[in-house]
Amino acid sequence: MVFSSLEFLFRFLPVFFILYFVVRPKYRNVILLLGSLFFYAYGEPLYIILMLASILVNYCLAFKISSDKRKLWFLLSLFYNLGILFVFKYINFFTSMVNTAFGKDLIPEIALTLPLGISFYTFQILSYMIDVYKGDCRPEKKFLNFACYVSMFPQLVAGPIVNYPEIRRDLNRKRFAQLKGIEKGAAFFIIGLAYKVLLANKIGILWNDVQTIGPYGINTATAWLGSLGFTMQIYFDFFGYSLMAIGLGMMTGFQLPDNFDNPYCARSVTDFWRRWHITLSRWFRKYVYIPLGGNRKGRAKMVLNLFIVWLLTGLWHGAGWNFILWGMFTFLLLVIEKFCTLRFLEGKHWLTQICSRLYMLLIIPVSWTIFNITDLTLLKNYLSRMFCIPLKGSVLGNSMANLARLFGNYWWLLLLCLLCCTPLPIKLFRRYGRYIWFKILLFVLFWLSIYQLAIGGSNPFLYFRF
Amino acid sequence: MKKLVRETTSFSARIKVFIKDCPLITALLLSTALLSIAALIGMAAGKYDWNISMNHPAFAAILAGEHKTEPKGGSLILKNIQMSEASGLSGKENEKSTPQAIASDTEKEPDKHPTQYVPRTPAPPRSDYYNDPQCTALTTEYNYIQADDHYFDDALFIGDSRIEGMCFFSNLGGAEFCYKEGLTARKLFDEKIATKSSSYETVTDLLSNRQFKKIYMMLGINELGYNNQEKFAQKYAENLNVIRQLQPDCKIIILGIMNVTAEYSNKDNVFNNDNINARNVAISALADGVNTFYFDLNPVITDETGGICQGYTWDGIHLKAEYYHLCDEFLKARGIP
Repeated sequence: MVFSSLEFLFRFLPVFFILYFVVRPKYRNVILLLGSLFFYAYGEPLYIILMLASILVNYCLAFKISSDKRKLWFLLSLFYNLGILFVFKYINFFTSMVNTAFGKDLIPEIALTLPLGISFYTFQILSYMIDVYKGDCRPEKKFLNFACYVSMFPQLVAGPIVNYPEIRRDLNRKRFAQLKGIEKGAAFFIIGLAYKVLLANKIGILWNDVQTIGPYGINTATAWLGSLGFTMQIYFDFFGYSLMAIGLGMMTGFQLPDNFDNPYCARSVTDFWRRWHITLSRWFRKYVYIPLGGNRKGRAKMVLNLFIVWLLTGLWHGAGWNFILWGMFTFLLLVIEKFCTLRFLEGKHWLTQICSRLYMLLIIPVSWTIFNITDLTLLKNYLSRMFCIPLKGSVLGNSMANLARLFGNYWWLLLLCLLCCTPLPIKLFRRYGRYIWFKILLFVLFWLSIYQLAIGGSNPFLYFRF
Repeated sequence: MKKLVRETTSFSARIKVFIKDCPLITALLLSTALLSIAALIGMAAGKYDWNISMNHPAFAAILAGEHKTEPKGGSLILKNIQMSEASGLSGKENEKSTPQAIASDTEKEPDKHPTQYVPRTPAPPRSDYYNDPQCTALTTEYNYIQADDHYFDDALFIGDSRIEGMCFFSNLGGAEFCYKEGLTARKLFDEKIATKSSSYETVTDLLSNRQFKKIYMMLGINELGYNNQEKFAQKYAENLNVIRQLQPDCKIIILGIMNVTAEYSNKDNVFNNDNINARNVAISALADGVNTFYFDLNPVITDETGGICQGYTWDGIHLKAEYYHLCDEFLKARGIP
C-alpha cells in the first residue's frame, strides 16, 4: 500500500485511526503494530515473514550484545542484518557481476524481488544494534515497543530513518489524542500528498516523454529539460512522502525527524547533502564515517573514508552500476569542494551567490540523470546529449519543434515546482497554517489530489495518453 | 495549549471540541461522507455501476465520472467463429481464411483485393473489451510501386501519439501530419489537433480545406478499453465515410494499430497485443484494395514475441526516434500508383 492511493486513504487510514483512538492510550502500541503489519502484509504477504524474523532475531540479540561476549554477538547481528540485505537486494547484481567477470554462468541467477522497505527498516535495526553495542541506548525490554519501532507504518516504506532514542520516549508515554496535533499532522499529510500527486506524478511525465523519444531524437536543450523534469519529480516524490510520514507521525503522537531542508536551495554539493534525505546522511555519518575516523586522521584517510561512505550510499540506493557511478560522482564533487571550491561557493558576495547557484543548477540534474538511468549505454548517450557530444545515427528531425511542444506543455508546471522548491510554501504554512483560508486551500488540494487518483485509477491512460 | 479529550465530558461537548480544534479534518470527513452517500444513491438508482472495492471507494465513481458502461456485446463475433469452425472454414486446414466479423456484409467483387488473414494461435480474451478472432490481418495485396521523393507530398497522416512520433522523426518528404495524443476513432472530428505545416484546428477543417491523394490513418490504441472491436470498427467505418465525402479522390490507407512490447502486453488485460490484433482484424475488413487499403506495420517492428522489439522502445508503446525509419521504409515500398 502506498500513501497516495485510495485504498490507503479511504480504507486503511479511517479504520486504523478509529481503532487507534478508541482503545486506551496504553494499548495504542498494539494497534499501531497490528496496523503496521497489515499495512506491510497487504502489499508483501510473503516478505512480512522476513520482517518479523528480523524483528525477533534482533530483539533477542540486543540483550546478548549488552551481556558478556558482546563483540561476538554484535558481529553476529551485523552478519545477520547485512546478510539479509545482501541476499534480497544485491544477490542478482552480485551474481551477474561474477558471471560477467568470468565470462560464463558460474552462479545461477536467482530472481528475488526486493522486499518493500527492506533498506529502510534494516538500517533502523542496525542503528539500534550499534547504539546498544556502544552503550548509547539500553536494549528495549518490551518486544512490542521494539516491533513498533521497526515496523511503524508511517516511516516503514520510505523513511525517515529514525534512531531508537528519538522515538523511545514517544513509544513509552501515553499518547493521548491531541486534537491540535492531529489537525496539524493532517495539514502536513495533505501538503505531502499534493506534492506527490499534483507535482511529482505530473512532472514525471515530462521525463517519460523525453525518454520515450530517446537520446537519439532530442537536442541538448530537450535533454536538460527532461533532466530538470526528473529532478523535480524525485524531490517532490520523496519530500512529499516524507511530509506524509511526518504528518502521520504527528497524528499518531510521534515526532519524526525532518528529512529535507530545501535541498535545491543549497549552494554546494556538501550543503546539498546536509539538506537532502537528512536521516540517511546522518546515518552514514554516525555509523560509518565517524567510526572510520572521519576527518580527524589526515587528509588521505578522510578521502578514503568519504570514498567508502559514498560507495555504500550509492549501493544503498540500488543494486546497479549507475548507482555506484552516481555515488562516485558525488564523492568526486565533495572532495573537490573540500579541497578547493567550497570556500568560494559558500561565500557571501552576490557574485559568488550567483555562481554557486548556477553550479548547483548544473550539478543536480546531471547527478539525478546518472541516478535514474540504469542502462549504462542509454546513460552514456543521454549524457552525451546533455553535453553536446555528437551521437552517431541521430534522428533529430525537427528537434526545436519538439522542444517547443514539451516546453509548451510543462512550463507552468516547472515554474510551480521551482516555486515550491523555495522555502516559501513552508514559510506560508508556518505563518498562516492556522488561518481558515489556508485550511480551505488544503481542503481543495486534498480533493484535487483525490480527483487525480480517482481518474488515474479508473483510467491510468489519462496520465499516459498515447 | 493542550486539550485532552477526557472521558468525563459529554459526547456532544467532545464533538464540539473536535470541530473547533480540527475544522480541516471535520470538513474532510463530512465531504467524504456526502460524496459517498451521493455515489451510493447514484449506484442504487443505476446511474453508476455498482463497483466498490479496496481501491475504488464509492465516491470514486462520481469523481471519475464513471457513468453506467454500455453493454459490451461482442457475442456476434464469437458466434461467427463457432459457426465457421463447425463448417471447417477456419483453423489450420485453410491457409487463408476470410474475416468473420465485419466483412461478412461486404460483397466481394473480382477486381478488388480484400484483406487476407492467416490463422493465429488462439488466446483467450483477458477482458470483455475484445474477443479473439483467431486470425491476423495481412497488408492488402496489391501491385505496389517504390515511392519516389515526391510521393508523399500529397499525403496526410492522421493519428495519435504514434503518428506524432512519425511527424517528428520519420522522413517522408512533404507529407502533412495531423495528430493529437490520445486521439480516438470515436472522437476523431471533435478534437483540437496539431499539424505539421498548416494551422487548421480540427480534422474536419483540414480535410475541408486541402485535398490529399493519400490519407494514412492510425487510431485505436487509446480506445482499447472502450466498447469492443465490433463497435470500434463500426465507428472507424463511419469516419472513413466522412473522410471519403470530404476527399472524394483519395486513397485511404488504414494503418493497423502498432503493437506494444510483449512485456507490456503481458501485464495489461486491456492494453495488450491480443486486443490490438482483434481490433486490427476488425478494421482491416474495411479495406477493399481499390480505394481503401490496410497496412500492417507490425512485421517490421516486432520480434518473435509478437511485441515491439524491446530495444526499439523505452515505454513499451512508442518507438524511439531512431526506429521510425523502419516505418518509412515499409511505407515507401508500398506506393499506390
